[in-house]
Amino acid sequence: MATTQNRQLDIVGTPGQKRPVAMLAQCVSLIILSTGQALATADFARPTGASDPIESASTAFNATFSASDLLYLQTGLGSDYTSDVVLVPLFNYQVCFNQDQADGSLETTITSTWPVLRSTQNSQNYDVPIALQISGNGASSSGSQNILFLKDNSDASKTVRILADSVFSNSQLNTSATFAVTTYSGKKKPFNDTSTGADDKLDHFTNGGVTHTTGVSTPASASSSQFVYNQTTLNNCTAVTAGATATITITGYAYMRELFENPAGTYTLSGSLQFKIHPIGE
Amino acid sequence: MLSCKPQHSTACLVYICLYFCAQGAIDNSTNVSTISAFTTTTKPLTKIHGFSYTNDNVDSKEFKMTLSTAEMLRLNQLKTHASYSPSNTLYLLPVAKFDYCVNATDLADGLDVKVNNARFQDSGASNTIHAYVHIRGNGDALDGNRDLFFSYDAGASSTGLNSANIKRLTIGAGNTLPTGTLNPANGDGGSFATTSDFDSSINLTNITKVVNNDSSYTQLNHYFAGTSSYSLTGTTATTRDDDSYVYDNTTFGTDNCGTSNAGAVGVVIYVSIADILQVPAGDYDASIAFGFEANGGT
Repeated sequence: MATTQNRQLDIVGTPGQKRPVAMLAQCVSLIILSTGQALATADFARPTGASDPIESASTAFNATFSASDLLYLQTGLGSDYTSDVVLVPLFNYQVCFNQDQADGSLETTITSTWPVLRSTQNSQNYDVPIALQISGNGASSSGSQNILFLKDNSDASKTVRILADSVFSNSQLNTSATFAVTTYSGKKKPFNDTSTGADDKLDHFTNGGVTHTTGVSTPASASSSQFVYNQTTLNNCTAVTAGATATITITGYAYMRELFENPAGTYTLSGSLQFKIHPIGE
Repeated sequence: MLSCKPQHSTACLVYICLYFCAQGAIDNSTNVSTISAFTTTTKPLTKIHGFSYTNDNVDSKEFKMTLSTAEMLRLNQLKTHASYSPSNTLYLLPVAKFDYCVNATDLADGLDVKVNNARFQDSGASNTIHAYVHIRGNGDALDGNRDLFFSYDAGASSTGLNSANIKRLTIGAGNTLPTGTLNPANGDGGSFATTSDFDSSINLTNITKVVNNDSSYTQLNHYFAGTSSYSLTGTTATTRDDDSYVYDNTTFGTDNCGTSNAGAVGVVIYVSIADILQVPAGDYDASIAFGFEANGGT
């Protein structure tokens, strides 16, 4: 339908004739509505009664690794996986996304430059790379449920290991647990890869739209002395039909080795990290 | 995009608010979500990866050193030498030299070190041979002393750790006592040196002294973030001899502890020759403990 509009715009509209073009577009919209056809929707969902979409978390994430935490990671890693990218999850939150076309065609793109966690000491920058994972609900008929963005193509071509859930206890590192990593099996991309192939789509489908109410979970209390995994969820964000979750989960990671192969200190994001979830071509 | 004509000032303000207020949140008009505040703090990490010496248990090293009767006689010859001046000089005999491979990620403050029980005593603890421990960091931190000299106590004011003159016996290539008559002079025919065994530009007397380092720590200039693990294969020490002196001297193999072994903390343990010459023959034992931690105890 959008193609039809554009074609008519090309015929009727000229650079000096904006108003007739706009009027025609309105007419087309009215025709669509009058036929009773449903409009495809792909957008962040607004909770009932709210004007803006919400995330489950504040975007201020602060993690502290104690010496014991770092020793646990360093000792656990040992001499293994030296050719791989090994990640520690730092935060995890949700957005509610309405995408009611079964074949998905959602694209996730990074719209900012790719930042790093950076500490400047003695006039020298020390960087810890990050990774960002966007995960759909897996209910679409196509696409990748998990898309992991990495700093470059070199890292995206490597095997990626992620610190296993089994080493966390109450969102903290259980340094008594056996160290373990899991191998990431989803789609990997360098941050600036805007390919729109089949596996570049985000596998996310909310049949019949979503119901979404305000309210989010409370993350475990942050600590300035030891690591706490900041995880939050939306209280209610479900597809209308079948009630499947309509959440998209965002997970931020730091490269594990670089956490202890750099000087101790405070590492802050070198710039804002922006990502866009949108239908391909829009 | 933010430029506005004067007559559009209101609209411009609204636009700016939308643009900047959207930071750290979802902008549904563009389908963009922003993560703008993200901080990770890493506390100082200290980890001892290993030692250069071998055939040992995990936490300690037993050094055995024997001085034969003939060697004792040779050492005693020092007393008759005209330039021997124990009243104002601390003469040291090296017993062991080795390296630790230490991760220490506190660039600003370096590594905190303590050494306890640096003295050898006989079974009744009635006779003591003072020990002196030189520890050398890599100098890559921004604070702390690269060289530290530890002892159990200051000893006699003129011949202990705070002596105005400190000399070490220079050991031959075979890690045995130097041949010929021992000469208390330095170099050029003398048997002693006044400079560090690690760095000839460092005078032993000038190294920062730490006395009775019981519970407190002293900052060592050592920073090494390094990697997760190392394949450490120390050089092989000269075989110990039950009947005569052998200097137990090891270091890491090439690039074992980082490039050029940058993560190595060097240690030399000395004993006082003057003490050796005045205590009864017998077995003297010490259990010297080394402590490493990040500055501030974390």
